[in-house]
Amino acid sequence: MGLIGREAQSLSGLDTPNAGLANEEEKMKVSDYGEFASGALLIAVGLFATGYALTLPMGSWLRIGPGAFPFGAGVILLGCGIATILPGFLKSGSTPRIEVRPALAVLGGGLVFALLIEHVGLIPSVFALVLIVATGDDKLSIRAKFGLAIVLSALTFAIFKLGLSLPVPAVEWSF
Amino acid sequence: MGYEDFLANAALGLETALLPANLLYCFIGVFVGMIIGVIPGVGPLAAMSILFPITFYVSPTAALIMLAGIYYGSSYGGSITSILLNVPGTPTSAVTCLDGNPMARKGRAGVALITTTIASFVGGSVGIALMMMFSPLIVALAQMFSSAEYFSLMVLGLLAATIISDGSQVKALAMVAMGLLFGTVGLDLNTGIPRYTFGLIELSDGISLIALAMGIFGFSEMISSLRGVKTGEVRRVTLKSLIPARDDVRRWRMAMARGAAVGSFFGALPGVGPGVAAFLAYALEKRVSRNPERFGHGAVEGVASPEAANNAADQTAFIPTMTLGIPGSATMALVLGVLIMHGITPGPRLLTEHPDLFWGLVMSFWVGNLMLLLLNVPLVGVWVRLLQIPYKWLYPAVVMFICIGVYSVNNSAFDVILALLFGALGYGLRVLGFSPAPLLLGFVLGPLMEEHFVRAIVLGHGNVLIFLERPISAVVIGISAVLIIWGAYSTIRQFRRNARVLEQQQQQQPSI
Repeated sequence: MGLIGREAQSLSGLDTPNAGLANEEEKMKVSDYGEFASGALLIAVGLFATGYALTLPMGSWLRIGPGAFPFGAGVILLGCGIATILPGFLKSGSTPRIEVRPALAVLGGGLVFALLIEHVGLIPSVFALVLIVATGDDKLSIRAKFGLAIVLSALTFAIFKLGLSLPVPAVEWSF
Repeated sequence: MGYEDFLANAALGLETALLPANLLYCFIGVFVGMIIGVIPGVGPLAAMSILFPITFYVSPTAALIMLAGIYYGSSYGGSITSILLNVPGTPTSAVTCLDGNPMARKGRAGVALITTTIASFVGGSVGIALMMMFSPLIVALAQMFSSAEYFSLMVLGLLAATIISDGSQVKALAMVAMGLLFGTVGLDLNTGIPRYTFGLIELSDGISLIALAMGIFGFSEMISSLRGVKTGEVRRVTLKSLIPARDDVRRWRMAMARGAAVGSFFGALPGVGPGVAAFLAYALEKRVSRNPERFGHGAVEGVASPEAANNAADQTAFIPTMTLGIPGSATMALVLGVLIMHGITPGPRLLTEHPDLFWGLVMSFWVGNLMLLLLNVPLVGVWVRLLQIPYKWLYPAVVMFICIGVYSVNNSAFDVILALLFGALGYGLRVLGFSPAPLLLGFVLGPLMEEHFVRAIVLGHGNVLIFLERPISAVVIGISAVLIIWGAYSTIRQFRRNARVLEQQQQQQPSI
């Protein structure tokens, strides 16, 4: 870190005495939270993967066991995580922004669909799905959302029941 | 291979491609691909997954013809959106925005559209011709390959995908590793020991390819495009405005030839893909131009060349996938996965065991490209109207198709939940600046790599150096090593540049 910092300094023509130390301190303050989170995620997954792989038989060179390959992949992941998190301290960066509402609408709609489909059938699940997903933004009025849900339910019936005869009942009730 | 064999193969392929059922699925594929390509925020992967359930009702040949049609059809459609909206309809047509949209703003949208259509057809045709010529040669070479060579080639493919990717190479490598890990989930093939299944029976056959692809591409693309995409502000394009001037046609010729050459070459390489090929073609065109200042302000060559390149690359990308079973891109990985699900293992034997499938697919490319050429022009009005539909009406429909698509593959609600988990993961990764394409590549190649690795070492009686002792494998490993060194060098250079920029920033604003 220090070496690279000093070298970059001489390249940029900055050559005041003691600047190295001062910059070192500055750098610790500006960290790239996105890179930090990325690195942390990779390290977490890597640790879990290697830990789990160690519980599997590793085998020998003649007969490679089921644990060896995932262990290798986990080690690469750990390495990448460390290589991502360290420069994260050095760089400044923008904190990533998460679109919470669209994420909740899309994933929530999908979850409701998955939980409903085997109990109430295809059409009611699609209806619920569309209503929830459409709350992802404010651009549609409530009436428009219901209208869209009705149209798409009808379309689903036409394509997947009449057209492809999907082996799931259009409407049922089984809890 | 003789000239007569070539004709016999072409005839067999044409016969297969022209069967009424195959023609129909080719049409469905290119048509749906085009629609999906036009809609921004939905890529070809999402489109292929949506139509995936249909593939169980038809022959593997028809299924493959349809999925391939979606793939190259979406690149025709994607450029329409690039031109009219300045938003790439598919990632591969991003470069087309640079000059296509300025042309549209100057009132030359019609000419830009006809340029992309013809350039796409020319590029696609060159790519297909090369695929017909080179596939048998590569298959002949592949007869000498054993597990060691396959493993080395897959390593090279994954490394190339990592190093050529846009953005951080370390992050791309991490995505490959994560894909390899997801690929190991399920019962181990040799011992039957469950890996990463957490006691869930649903996971014992491994993670469903469609659930993974739909999660990290479909759902996460919808989340990130939901607020970003604006459709609905498109002017009409008259059929008369499609007629190019004589000057345009003159500029087309060399631009399309160069674009097709660049695209064909880079498309066949592992990991490069049509997006990069289009970008390289654009850069080349700008460099050889006598007046490069026209670029970015509606230069017709800036549309013709990248469009020829991405369509040529779309076709040649099938060469390694079909002849070696080694996909070069995420989309090709999905094609490979589909073939495996239908019980067909792509590789050198595919050409001898299923010549009708291979040559039928190749000849269907001609048919499909011809359909696209004919469809694109008269349907311009339809595409414009499609883009006038506000996105708020479109995105719930797309999410719905994704959910039903994932569900119907195995009639499994579990797969939908799995896809949602991958959607959350994929969105998180996207926010953190990861590009998820290498993950899918690693996921599909992982199990194949493990199998070939184990087999190569068994064949070598426990000798790990087998990969360096076999000459072809050694050359491939050597190229991989060069790639790693080059990648490490450029990462360090990037790192130093960042440090320097930071230094300068601090110099300017000392009081932070």
